[in-house]
Amino acid sequence: MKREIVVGLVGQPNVGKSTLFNVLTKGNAIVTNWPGTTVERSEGILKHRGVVIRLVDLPGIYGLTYLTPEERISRKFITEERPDLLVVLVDSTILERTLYLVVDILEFTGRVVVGVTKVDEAHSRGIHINYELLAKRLNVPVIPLSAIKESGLDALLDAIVENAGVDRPTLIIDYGELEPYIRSIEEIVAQSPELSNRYPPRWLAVKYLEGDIDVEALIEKLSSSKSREIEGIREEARKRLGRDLAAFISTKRLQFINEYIVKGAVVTAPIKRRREPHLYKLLYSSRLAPLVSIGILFIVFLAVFLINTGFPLTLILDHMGYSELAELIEEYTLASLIERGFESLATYLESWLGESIVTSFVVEGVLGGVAAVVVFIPLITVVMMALGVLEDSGLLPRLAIGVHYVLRKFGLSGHALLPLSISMGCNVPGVMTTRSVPSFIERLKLALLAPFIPCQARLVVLLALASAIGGFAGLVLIPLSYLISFLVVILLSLALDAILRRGEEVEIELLLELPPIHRPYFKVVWWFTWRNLKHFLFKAGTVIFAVSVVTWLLSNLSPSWSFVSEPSESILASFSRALAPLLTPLGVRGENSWIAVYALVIGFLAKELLISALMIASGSTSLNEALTVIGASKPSIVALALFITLYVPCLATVATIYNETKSLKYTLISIALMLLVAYALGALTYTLATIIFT
Amino acid sequence: MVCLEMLTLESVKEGGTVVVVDIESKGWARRLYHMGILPGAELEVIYNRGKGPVIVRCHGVEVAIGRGIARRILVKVAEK
Repeated sequence: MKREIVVGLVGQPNVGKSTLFNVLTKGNAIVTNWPGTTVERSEGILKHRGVVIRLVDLPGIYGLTYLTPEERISRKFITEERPDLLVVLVDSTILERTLYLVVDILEFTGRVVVGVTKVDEAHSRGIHINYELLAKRLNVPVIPLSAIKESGLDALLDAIVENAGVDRPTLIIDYGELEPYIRSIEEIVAQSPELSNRYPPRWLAVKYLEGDIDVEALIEKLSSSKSREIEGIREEARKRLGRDLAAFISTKRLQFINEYIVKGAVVTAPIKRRREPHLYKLLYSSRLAPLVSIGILFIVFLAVFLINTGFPLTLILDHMGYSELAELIEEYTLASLIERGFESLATYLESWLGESIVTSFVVEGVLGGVAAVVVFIPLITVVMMALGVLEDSGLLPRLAIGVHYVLRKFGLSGHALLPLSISMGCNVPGVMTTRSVPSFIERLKLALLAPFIPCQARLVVLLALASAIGGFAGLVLIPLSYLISFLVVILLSLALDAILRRGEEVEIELLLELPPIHRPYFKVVWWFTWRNLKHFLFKAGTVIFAVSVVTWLLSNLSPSWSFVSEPSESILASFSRALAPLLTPLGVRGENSWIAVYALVIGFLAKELLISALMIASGSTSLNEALTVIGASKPSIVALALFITLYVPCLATVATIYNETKSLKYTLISIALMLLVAYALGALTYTLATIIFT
Repeated sequence: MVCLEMLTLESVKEGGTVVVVDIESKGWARRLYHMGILPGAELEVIYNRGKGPVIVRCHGVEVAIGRGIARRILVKVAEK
């Protein structure tokens, strides 16, 4: 029988855990969710010397005692699920600090292999580590690794296979004055087999004194006389030591690391310490930082959209009168290259299959659905590469700091900068980048807020409507829509803050480790990009494809299931007619008002399709004509423009929101929230505009 | 016994090196401990300009600490 082992990969944040996981699994990980949570769980399956290794990537933790839901997952996995082995990673450049987690875990279990990461970097800084001595002192194997140079990987896999399931004695640290109290609690706990069979009694005693909530819950389950006795011992210890026991225990652990583990095992050659250039200080300064941070992001933002769609360069050139140049640029952007590729494929298929209902289903429905997914590939690739560079270089947390104090006023933290600014180009990668936000509540909030930011596709629709209105009103329309959208985001952020935190007084504070700034590794950036892209294609991509095909069917089938040539006879048109009265408050009424609803439904697939849907369904050749057919007055066009900007995230964004929150509830809330806000503001605008225009 | 003047981390000037005496923030204390910022630890203040976070180097790692938290970290000047 084949041997199969479960191995957990743990480490403090920034020790290089994801990089190693990617190298070991060669980027092929099964991504699911941790049961009952929205936290991503990555598992890679490797084979080494005939053994199947199920490697589970655990969320980064500083120690076993947790603060966040993510950290709780790692803790539960270690103490409850009990894998065959834990690979605990430490950073060779900051060995003492990162060994804290190793010691914390070794007090609980001896099923550990320690991996020392970034050894190439440590060597170049003149840090020399005696790994054998470390292994002897910790009493577990210690393997030097460099994920970038892919060295030490075989030795690590050997150690994993050899040590899985091997129970070595746990680590005993001398806690000095606290020892008598530890021993008393240990004795009481040892009398309860249901506890002592599952957990080392000494570990329970230490963690209880440290104030670990999970261990406290276990102790409370004991008989009330025992749990009261244990509580009494802790009170006594607190009085005797006259200080916070958690601080005392942490200090002792660090002392232990310095005096018994690291001392004599690490030699640092006297080399000049690299000083951070003063330029970086610009990123911290409260006055300059927001400008510098926003400036950097703005450049990233421009580059991303310039490569993909030529925007905003094409727009500028067009206005300056160089429309030919603008067209030339537009022709060679990634988006238009893909579009042309699909067009020629469609023409080829049409001539090959001949004209029939099946052909139009294949070409418009299926191929259209595929195209709806594929157009996002270059956009997401470039955004994720940019984000990967920012993250791997260590620049991202510094940018977050820069704007933190500005965004705090709006109930957000510095981490919100990236999702919100990327959303101005496209909401899909905007929502995807919420992943880099550490707080779950804030991530959820941003996923709900980001779709309110007008993306480029909505700008196109707004431009078309603005020119249809013309005059001063047309000129004001676009800035007004953006202004209102931003105001909505700010107000909703403050409101959501109050709701999601449920009155809890949680300060939006900042406590962030800043990894050293370095040149980004292409390999790491690529893994990051590939992983996110794959995620989008498989998860969001299938939803986008399916809904696109279904909508095509709905707009091409009659209620009696036969194919129709006129959109007005389709199921979707009947559906739109039923809903049309709802648009009355926006000033759209009359027998052709269903066309507006029809276009809005099509616009849900992709907002840029709205204009063409309006024109096709009304049988018009221009937008102005279409608007006349549906009977929209000037105030009503303004109201519609605002409604279109806000009414619903597009299909791809909805799929991404679901994908990121893993919650149908929040996805539906997002849609309902947007519809509600759009409807209310649309009706209000119509009323106000009617007064102004008449 | 020499009585050294106690300050909060928030009030330490840029470039100064201090030793942590106590952390008064219950919620954040444990996270700070795990990051090695606990009584007795030496902190080098890298950035502190009135507004924005205080950035310190501790055990070779840079950490950005919000002012609200920095206010509750009591420190004394390190003896040279």
